[in-house]
Amino acid sequence: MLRGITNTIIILILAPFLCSELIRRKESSALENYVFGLAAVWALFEVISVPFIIASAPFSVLSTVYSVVLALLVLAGSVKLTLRRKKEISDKKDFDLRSLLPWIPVILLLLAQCVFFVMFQHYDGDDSYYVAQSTITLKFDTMFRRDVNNGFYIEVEGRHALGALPIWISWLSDMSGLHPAIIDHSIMAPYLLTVMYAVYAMFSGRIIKDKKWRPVFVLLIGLWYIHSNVSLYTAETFAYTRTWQGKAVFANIIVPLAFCLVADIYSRTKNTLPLCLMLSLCAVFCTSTAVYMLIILYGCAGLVLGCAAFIKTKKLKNALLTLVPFIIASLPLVAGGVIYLIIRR
Amino acid sequence: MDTIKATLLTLKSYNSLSLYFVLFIAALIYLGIAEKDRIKRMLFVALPLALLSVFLFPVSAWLSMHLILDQEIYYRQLWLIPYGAVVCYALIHAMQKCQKVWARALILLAFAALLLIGNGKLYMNRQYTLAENPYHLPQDVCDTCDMILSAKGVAEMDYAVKCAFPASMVEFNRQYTASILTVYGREAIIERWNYDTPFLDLISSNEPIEAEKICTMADADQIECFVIENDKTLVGDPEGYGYIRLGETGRYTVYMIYWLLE
Repeated sequence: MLRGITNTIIILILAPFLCSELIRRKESSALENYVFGLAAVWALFEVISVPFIIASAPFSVLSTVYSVVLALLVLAGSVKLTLRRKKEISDKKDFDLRSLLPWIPVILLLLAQCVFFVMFQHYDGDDSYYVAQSTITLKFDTMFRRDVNNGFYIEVEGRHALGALPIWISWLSDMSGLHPAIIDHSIMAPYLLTVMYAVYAMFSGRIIKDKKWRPVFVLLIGLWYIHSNVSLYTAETFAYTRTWQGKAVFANIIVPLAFCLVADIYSRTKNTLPLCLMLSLCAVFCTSTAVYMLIILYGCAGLVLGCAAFIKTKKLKNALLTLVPFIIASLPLVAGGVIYLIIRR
Repeated sequence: MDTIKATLLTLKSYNSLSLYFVLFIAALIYLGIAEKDRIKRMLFVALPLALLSVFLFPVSAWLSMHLILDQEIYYRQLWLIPYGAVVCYALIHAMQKCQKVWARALILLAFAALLLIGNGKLYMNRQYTLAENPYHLPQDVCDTCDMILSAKGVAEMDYAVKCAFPASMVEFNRQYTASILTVYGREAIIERWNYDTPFLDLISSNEPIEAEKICTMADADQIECFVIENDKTLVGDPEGYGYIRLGETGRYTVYMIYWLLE
């Protein structure tokens, strides 16, 4: 099992880190590159898996194709990283460990929660879908073609077929040799919580100029999260009780990440659009309902920016032009919606 | 009118009787007044307000509830509103405005007090229990499934045996293994879905269970293996009706059709 855990952790750390080299923005931090690298790994899986799922292809074929493509991207990322390091070696600055000091309370809070996640369990009924879907995929070498409730053969399950996260967990399980339940409950739970904190740390960099206040913001977010178990429905409750499920990933990682990108569009940061497109794919990867929900978010964000532009310039054309990035970012979601309607038919 | 009621009910059950929504609205008002940066006003005031309006607006709510999502999961649209980010950014903004350290500490203390008094605490959630294994599944369930899978006929032929499990197992057994097919799954234990599962009703009964009845029913439903909780009373011997007692784990007893054990 130790080997499996090591393999999983290597995949989860190395693949996003090296893939991020291919999409990184010059000014981005390592943390930000890693998060977008993970988004790239997920978006890639969504793009490759959906045709295989619709065509009812065996999971093993998808697993091989995805592994090969990912390996090639990781290789390309390593080459690019090596070349970049060589280029930058002359003006390399030493990493100052002291810059991490203000983050220590956040790191401790996160560590405590990760230990809690591994040591304690919280049963959730929906796991009989999410985890069982991954288990069934591995056993029968099919994707969304078996009823999770009883294991018998069914037509492609259109309602969930776009949300490929459980199939990705099967792939991770296939690569590591660990059982999907162990991956979901003992590895993905602390891992995704860490990614969530990383996203909020990224967000703090966009909204708070003074660096010393950024860890305070993330710490407050941490306190807010652990005190927001007010009902069964809040995003925060989902973050702590069913972290590994697609809808929880959407609510607690994809939505804050979308806010980061909306902030980038508002502040006219360059090269944001490709990341938005990637995030849209990631959102669908997590849950089919993201098709609709992220369109609402992008729509409202566009409306707000359009109104602001109109108030400022009094020109309708300017207002309409501000909508363009949001419309383009929504295209994968619209495509997802069309596929959803076709396979659900 | 029904849509408005349903929307407000969703909002109410989402926030429960907590300060979650109150703190968010207070932060929104504060930032609306105090935040002067145009981008941050758009991000933390206008955008959350727009998202909340779309949630509350009857036409969009009706469309969401009846055509796109579902009334039962309409609450998910509230996930788009960054409650935590708005509240925490408002706090940072307020603390940055205060020059005095004691004033900053006071804001922080007030926030902590409000969270402690008015919001649900994760660490008070009693549904967390010490993990029994790395699967984070009940060990009895794992043991029972292992027992079924190691039965002679099942293990030797890699046979996908068809089983019926008690209600306490159905949420877990399929997470642990897909090698055991089941007669019913989680859908059977969700009352509002009204699934007709006479076999589950029988093995869940608090009355003594007649071996003849359970075996006849199992045979008719082509159930090759069934599991009964140890605290249930079985009257008669299932062996006489073709089902052999395979064994017992901490909480369950397993019976399997005779030909899988020969």
